[in-house]
Amino acid sequence: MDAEAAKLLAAGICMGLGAIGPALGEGLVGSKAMEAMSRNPQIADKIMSNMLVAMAVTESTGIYSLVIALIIIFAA
Amino acid sequence: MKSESISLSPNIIAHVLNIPINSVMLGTFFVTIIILLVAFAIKSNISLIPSRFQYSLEFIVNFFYSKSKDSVLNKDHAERLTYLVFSLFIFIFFANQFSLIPLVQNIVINDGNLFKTPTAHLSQTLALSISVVLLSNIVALYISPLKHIDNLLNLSSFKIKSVKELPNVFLGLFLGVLNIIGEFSKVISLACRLFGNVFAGEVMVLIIVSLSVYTSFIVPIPFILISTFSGLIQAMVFSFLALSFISNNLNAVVEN
Repeated sequence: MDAEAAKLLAAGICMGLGAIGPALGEGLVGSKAMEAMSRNPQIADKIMSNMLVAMAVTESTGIYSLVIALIIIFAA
Repeated sequence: MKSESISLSPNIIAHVLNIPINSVMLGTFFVTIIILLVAFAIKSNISLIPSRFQYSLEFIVNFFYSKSKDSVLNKDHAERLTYLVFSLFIFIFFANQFSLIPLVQNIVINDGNLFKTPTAHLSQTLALSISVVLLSNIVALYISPLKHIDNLLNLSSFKIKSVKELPNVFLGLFLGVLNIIGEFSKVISLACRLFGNVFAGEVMVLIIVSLSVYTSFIVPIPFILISTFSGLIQAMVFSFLALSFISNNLNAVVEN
């Protein structure tokens, strides 16, 4: 296996493994927010905006792995 | 494949006094000029009895104002913070939607684009996040320097009455070091989140367009929609996180 192939493989594995955690976490955030919204529809707007922020924070580990994959492909 | 058009580094266009002018800087200027034009256009049509458009804009500003009033104890500080947070939101929102402007992206100079989406470059987002985190510390230092340093380094744990409480000192010291590292990780996480989302959206659309001839027209539309939506969300998230960083430091030093 030459270096270029190893690089591409590393980037793929990094992104694939790094996407598992954020996916589970975001699903959890979404499901809990849905539960809260259906229980208390009056504050659904407030929960919605908070949920989006929480989702973006949860997403950040996935974004880190994306950045690392980009660094592996383009910079290293 | 157009894989060579996916690049992290911007295209350098000219040198002015040995300072390289690149496509990201030009893109930032472009976005700033657009924001200024929009602001002047709105300001000239402003009226006491709001039209439908003006009302919707006022609703957005009020949304941010209520958010900062909720998170900052002092009302005067909340009003000042709203300006910063809302301008961050406006700039990042317009910068994220830069690729939606037709024809501007197709101007080619020196074998590269003349304009590049500003937030799809790590330097731009790093600059924004460094200024936010620095500001959050400077504001707290300005109001009460001793209290902020105390909060940051956990100095209050050094006041002990007996030898038995010595482990608390080490714990406090460790937490203080962690706080310092946390400030740096705030900068990196804030910058990488915005950069990663915007850049990933661009790369996704580019890959789908360059897959084959059949996927270059209708197929990328849902992906462009997704990246537009995530651009709005990321602008919101960046400004809310900036608000929460600054308000956390402010509330810790302001007397209740």
